[in-house]
Amino acid sequence: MPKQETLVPQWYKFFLPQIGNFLFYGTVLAIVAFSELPPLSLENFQLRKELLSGNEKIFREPGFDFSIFKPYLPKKGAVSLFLDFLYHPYAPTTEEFYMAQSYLAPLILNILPDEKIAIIHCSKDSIAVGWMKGEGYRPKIFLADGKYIAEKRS
Amino acid sequence: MNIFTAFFYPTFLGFLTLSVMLRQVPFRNRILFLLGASFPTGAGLCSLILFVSYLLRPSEAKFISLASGLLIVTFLLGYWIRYHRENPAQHHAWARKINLKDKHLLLEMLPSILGFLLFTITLVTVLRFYSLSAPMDIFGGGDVRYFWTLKAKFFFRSPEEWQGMFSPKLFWTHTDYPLLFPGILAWGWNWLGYESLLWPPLVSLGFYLSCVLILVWYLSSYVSWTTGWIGGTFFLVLMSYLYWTIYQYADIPLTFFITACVLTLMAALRSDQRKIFIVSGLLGGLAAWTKNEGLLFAMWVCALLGGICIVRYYKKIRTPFAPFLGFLLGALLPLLAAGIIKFFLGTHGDYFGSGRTLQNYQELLFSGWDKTFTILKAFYVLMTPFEEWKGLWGFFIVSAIILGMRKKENRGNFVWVLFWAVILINLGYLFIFHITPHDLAWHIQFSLNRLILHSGGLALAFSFESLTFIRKKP
Repeated sequence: MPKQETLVPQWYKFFLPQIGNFLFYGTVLAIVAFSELPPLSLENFQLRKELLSGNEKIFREPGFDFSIFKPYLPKKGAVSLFLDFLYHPYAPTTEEFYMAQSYLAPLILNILPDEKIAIIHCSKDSIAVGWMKGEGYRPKIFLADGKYIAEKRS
Repeated sequence: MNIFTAFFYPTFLGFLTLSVMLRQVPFRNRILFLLGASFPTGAGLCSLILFVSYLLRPSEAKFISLASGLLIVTFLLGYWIRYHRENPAQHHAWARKINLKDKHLLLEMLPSILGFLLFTITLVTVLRFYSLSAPMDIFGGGDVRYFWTLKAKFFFRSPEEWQGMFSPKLFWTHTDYPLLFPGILAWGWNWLGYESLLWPPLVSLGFYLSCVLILVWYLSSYVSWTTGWIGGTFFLVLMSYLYWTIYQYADIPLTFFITACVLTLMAALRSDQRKIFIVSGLLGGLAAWTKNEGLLFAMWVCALLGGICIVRYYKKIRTPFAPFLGFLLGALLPLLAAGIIKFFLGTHGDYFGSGRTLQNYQELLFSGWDKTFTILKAFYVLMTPFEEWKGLWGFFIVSAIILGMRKKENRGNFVWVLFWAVILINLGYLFIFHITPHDLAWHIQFSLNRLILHSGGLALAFSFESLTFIRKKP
């Protein structure tokens, strides 16, 4: 009778770890075997070729649209920036604001109309003129439709 | 300068630092550990050197940071060569043991050889995919372009104006965030002399591969080589990590430091070697130097280790608080750097310096259960997609149940530390979402999937260790 009592635990001790290992590693290997990577396009290969050959110029830096303002801006300090919409984390032009800051750094872009110089980057001239009138700026340099360098009226 | 020298230099600095710190310490699979931890450690140290140089003398900072880095490398190399001359390396036991004519041994090694092959094939496939995908998003994701790279541009483009990155006018850039990632980006650009587009994806890849190797190191050291290779392969097929690596998010470096800190802490607790606690502290400190979430993590690790030391004290173990002090010593420099940012430079954070009172926080925390249920539901929704996590969190739950069932057996091997680290990290995020200054749904949508990454490596290590029922290593 005592033999029967010990047989079950011995069987249990020997086989259970084997079954556990088999189940776990079998599942993991099946997951690895059936894993897939997202599809790639021809563009992926072309861009890699350009990047590795040192042709970095074909990658346009975010905020490149603001390059027209660069020659007329101070190199350091802060300027105000006006886009079609006022800054708000969920406003449609917020990403444009971030891109401009990234492109023009270390110049600081202020969302408030506190700075002497302002960049006006709007889709229409009427919006740009509206901002300048409302916030006390006058056009200093006209660059394109809705695009100005403005300065604060003293 | 070549882009690969920019990558090699921090790796070499990290290798020498860790080798010197771990000298005369019995440490399992040391070479694999150094292979995995050298680049991130060196990158972290380079960013610290750069930060101190900019802090002390901005106009000469580029030169000072590169020259002082080279000086440190020269000093460490001299020390390392002298040490190895005086203490010639001994052949490892396994190197002596391998006899290619021993069929039994070869048969025993077959699973680990197959595991290694599977790992290598998966690694090559993932690397090929990465090299083809990274150029599509060469400037990284939103946070990278507008927060991390922006700060690196302040460092690189105008050393004298670098503190402009802390201007309250740039409140949306997390001005109080630590600077490991921008620091290493700027360090590479300083080294190369231009804003290389290849450098950020190379750094991101370096951290990703280090995450893989550190898991292989831990599992091969404490479970078996087969588990190590298969665990590493499983990490490689987790799309979440690959996806955020392609977008160059700082959550991958943070995942590395969190994983490496806890795994080296496990090695330290199991061997009770003070020097390994210092290494663990350094990695934990670098986590705090990466992101605010790393600071929160450093607090959790200190709480866990502090608890263990109190138990040691009651068990009357000699020098019960030595592990805690060793850990703090290792974390000291990165924590100091993070403290300088918090208290002196970027004082307009979302939490610290936000102007909210204790009463505000109390109201936010105890505003009812709805918020808690919303956050928990978000955790559930983001942890269960099979395409991203391949069932990892399911394995974690099964492992936790097994840990509960085998409580007595696991008490001495500290495997429960892994479980509690995962739980505490995510509890911390549950708490943070309760007190967020942002719209809760928006905050969850834009960050929770990345926050879950941080504890994924530890969940993987815990699952593979707990669900391997036949171990090769004690």
